[in-house]
Amino acid sequence: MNFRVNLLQQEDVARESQRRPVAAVIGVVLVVGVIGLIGSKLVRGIATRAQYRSAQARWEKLEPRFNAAQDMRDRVLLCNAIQAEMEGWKQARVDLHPILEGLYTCVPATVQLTRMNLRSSYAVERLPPRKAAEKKAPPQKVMRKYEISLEGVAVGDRSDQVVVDFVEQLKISALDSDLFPSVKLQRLQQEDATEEESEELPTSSFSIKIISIPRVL
Amino acid sequence: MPADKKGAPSDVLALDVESDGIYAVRMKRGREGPIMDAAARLPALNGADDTGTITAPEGKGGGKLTLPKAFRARSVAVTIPATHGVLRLVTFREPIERASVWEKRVRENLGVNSSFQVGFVTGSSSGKGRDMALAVALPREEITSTLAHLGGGGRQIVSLEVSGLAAMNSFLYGPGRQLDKPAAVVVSSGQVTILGIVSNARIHLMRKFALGRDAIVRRIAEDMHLEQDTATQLFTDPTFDISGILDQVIGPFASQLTISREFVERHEDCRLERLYVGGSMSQSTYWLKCLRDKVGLEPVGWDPFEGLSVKGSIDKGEKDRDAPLYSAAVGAALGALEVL
Repeated sequence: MNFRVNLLQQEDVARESQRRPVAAVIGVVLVVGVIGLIGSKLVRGIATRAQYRSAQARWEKLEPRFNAAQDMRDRVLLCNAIQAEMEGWKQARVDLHPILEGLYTCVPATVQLTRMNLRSSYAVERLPPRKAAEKKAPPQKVMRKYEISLEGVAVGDRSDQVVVDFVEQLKISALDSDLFPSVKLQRLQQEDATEEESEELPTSSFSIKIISIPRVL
Repeated sequence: MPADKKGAPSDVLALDVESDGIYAVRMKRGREGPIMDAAARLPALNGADDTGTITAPEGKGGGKLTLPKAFRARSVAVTIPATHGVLRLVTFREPIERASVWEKRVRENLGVNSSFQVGFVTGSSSGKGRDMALAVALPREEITSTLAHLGGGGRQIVSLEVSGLAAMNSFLYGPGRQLDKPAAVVVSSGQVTILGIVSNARIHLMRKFALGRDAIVRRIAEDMHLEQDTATQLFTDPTFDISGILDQVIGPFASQLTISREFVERHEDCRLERLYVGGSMSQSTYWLKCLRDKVGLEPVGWDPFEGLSVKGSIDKGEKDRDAPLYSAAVGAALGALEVL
């Protein structure tokens, strides 16, 4: 007989041993969970790092080409702007020689042009703003308009009718009707002959105004 | 560590919860006997009252035990002073036929209700061959609280014993092995003293007394207006005469000791020939003198570490000086390893 009186009952020992596995299982699950989480983060981090390095290497190769492409694009944009400007100017400009040629071909033999004036003027048209940002500085359209003034005299009988026919010819064939839709006879005056000139042919002085459509710059 | 074939652990940590700390002993089963791996006194747990009894609920000021690496064994044997418990050697007039009746009969004899947990070992008396039981009853609350504080952390508590009885087991493994004549064994702790009279592996008497080192130290401190630490030193220092104080405190115990001795000698028709002393009070010269005077025999101490192979690092100075304090832990470890 020894003195070992164990006060722990079987239920206590069982409870103790049951508590431990449950705690151990929870502990293991927690540890595995934490390790899994850390592992996945680590793997993702490593993958991201590798991706970053590969992208960096690619960028180092591509950067000179990218910069060159950027420069090219800037140059192209500049050239495009210049081209647009030039085309605007070209669009706005009217060649004189077709006008002069047209006049040359259609001026009747009895008509003498005494004065020709070609004048151009600019007009600015404000456009309605399309965006809120454009309210302060609304877009505008710059246009160029041409005005040709002709003065001359017609000699001979029915000189007034000759002048009228001349104006018609200008409208129909001498000038580009799309470009110069407005051809107006502004003045037609028959000159009265003096006594000394009574034997001379009757003359009519006239002035014609030709206005072009506005041409956008 | 895996358990052996019988289910007993092969590596056990024994914890003796005392008022001045926890005496811890780690012991392993070796081919040639138990092997001491480590022994140390650990700080007392938070939540233990001044008797060493753990009363605070877990998590409310009651600390969990944290062990040094050398003491991390899976199986744990715990001993507590059982200040609030009942210890008795019960002899039954009529034989107990069925095993299931034992607890009921023991509980009746101890006079405890269901709020107490009862444990006992059975045997038969030497004279008339009557059934008897060495029984202990402890409040369930105290047991639950102790398990909650000392269990967990990968540990499994395999036994919970009264420290005085566990100390007597270390005596059984030492000088008690060759005991052929009746001997008294007095084991004292901070709060409790247990007196056992045994012979030839038979128990003649077992009694528990509410007397311990703490009560004596407290009395010394009060009477001499000393700090507790100084009073504790005086208790073991033979250069101071504290016999006057001791006589007053020990008086009732001394009377019971004399009565018990005479009862056993008359009842068993024998004569007490040896007196063994263990536990914390055995370090006091005055305690030994008192016992010598009352029993008329020279008190003999025993070294609980004797007969054990020591492999771990154990402070030799502490081992020699404080060996009696480890009696309960060593006894509990030996019991858990089932080498007794």
